[in-house]
Amino acid sequence: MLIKVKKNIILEIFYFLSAVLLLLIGSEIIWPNSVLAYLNINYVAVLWFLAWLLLL
Amino acid sequence: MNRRHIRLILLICWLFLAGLIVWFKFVPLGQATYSLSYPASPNILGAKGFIGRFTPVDRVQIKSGELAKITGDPVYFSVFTPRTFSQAKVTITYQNNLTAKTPIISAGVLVDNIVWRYRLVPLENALIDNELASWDKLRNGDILLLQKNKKFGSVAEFLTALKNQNHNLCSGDILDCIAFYNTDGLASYLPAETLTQKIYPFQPIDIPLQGTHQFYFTYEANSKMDFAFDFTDLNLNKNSDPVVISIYKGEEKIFSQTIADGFGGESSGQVRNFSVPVSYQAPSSGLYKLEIKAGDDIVIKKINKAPSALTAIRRLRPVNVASLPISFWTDSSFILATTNNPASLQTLNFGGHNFSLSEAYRQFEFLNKEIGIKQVTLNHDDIILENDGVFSFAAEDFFNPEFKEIDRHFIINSDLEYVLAKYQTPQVIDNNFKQATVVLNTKEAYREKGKYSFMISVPGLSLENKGNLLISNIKVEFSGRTLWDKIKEKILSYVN
Repeated sequence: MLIKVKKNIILEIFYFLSAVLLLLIGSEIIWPNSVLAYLNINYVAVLWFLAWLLLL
Repeated sequence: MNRRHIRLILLICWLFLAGLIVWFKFVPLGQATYSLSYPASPNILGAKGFIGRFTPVDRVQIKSGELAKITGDPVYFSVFTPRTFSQAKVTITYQNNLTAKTPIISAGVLVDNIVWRYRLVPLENALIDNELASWDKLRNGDILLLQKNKKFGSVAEFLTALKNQNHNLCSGDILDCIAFYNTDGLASYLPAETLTQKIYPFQPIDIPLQGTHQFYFTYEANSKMDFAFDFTDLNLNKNSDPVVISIYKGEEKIFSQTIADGFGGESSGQVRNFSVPVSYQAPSSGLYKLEIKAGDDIVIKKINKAPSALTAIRRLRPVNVASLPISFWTDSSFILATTNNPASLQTLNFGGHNFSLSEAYRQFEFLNKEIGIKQVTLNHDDIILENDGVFSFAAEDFFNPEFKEIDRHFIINSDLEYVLAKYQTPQVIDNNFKQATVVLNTKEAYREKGKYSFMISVPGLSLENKGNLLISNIKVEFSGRTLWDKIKEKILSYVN
């Protein structure tokens, strides 16, 4: 039961990070440097990848 | 906490992030501040930042854990902004290790990308701060009046006397007794246009001049302000080559004509000759400025007609001259000479002294501090000549309507009685560091790919001249229209 709850939370975080990545990449495409000036998107991509690994 | 709650929290986080991105993109309050410190603090988020690196790299030494050391002039840095702003307040914290040969530090923003012109504003002028420290000082806002012997009780009183050219203002020639520094915006007080009352007759100028040039000329009302130019388009560069001819009265542009390049053939090397007549009826007599703005593909082959003799302002680039040697006349104490053509290396003569232009792609500075008009003789053309004054094409046509400017070659002689400057002495902070602030108008600044280009200039600074400028911090505070201002403007434009 606990494992299932944890998995659900990670799944939600994975969805969230996917949406965040889309938002950041989309913003960067539309308005160049609007995100990279503040943050390296690679860090978010690494978190997203870790979340995906935990789901496997 | 169930899955629904988590999803709601994450959704709020996502919306907050999206809002943050939009907020930082549009800067609705119209104000944004960016800064860069040396030594740089750790970049935990891996951000690219807003203020770019100093270029060219050979003029700046940046070592880990140290201040940025500027050893050449000028250096540039770009600042990315998510939107346009109308004003940039640049504050630079620095340690001044410069020598007496380099007394001036300025900062500016790129305003014209065709002629690569930066509008410079002083950060520090050691001549004013140190050499004239004993003079009487009067200040009105950012206008500073220095008097050798106190005659005026306020800046306004002095400006009125200057405007009216009071006889007791100066004991000698007004052009020798007053020096200016950074006096843009004070033009209406300057009587320069009334100083040049003599009309020097025009003689055709058949020395071809490459690229942008500016000239002074005098004009008598009710006569015709007619010009006739012969141009050559070399068609060596890939871009089209329009020519913009403008006439200025003081700082105001009163006439402009653009000659579009509709002939093509760019990069082909196919030379095209064309003639342009310009006619304008100016209402008043006096001093005017002619500007011919063009890229390096355009050569002003001949100036056939003008209302009076022309003197070139600050810069000359003679090319393809039919008969050499050629001579110009100037009253400046220095000339800067550069050539990009190895065939133009030579020994040139400046006021009776020979100077060797021995290297291409390098700017040489030749000094001759003798007072009066000096002849410059070139044995080869394709040289860029620059100074802080004017060049005339004949000795008898020489006139310089400008007041003396306090630049690094300025000599404080006994005739000088007043200095009028728009200048704030930098603030001294701890450990020999100084902090200077300049306010730059970015409304007309050139912005490419979201970046403004800034310059820090220490004229004369090079590795040979020793000295350096250590930069500790650069802070750029931008301000502009708020979102509400923009909405109001849109509504008003629809209503009207």
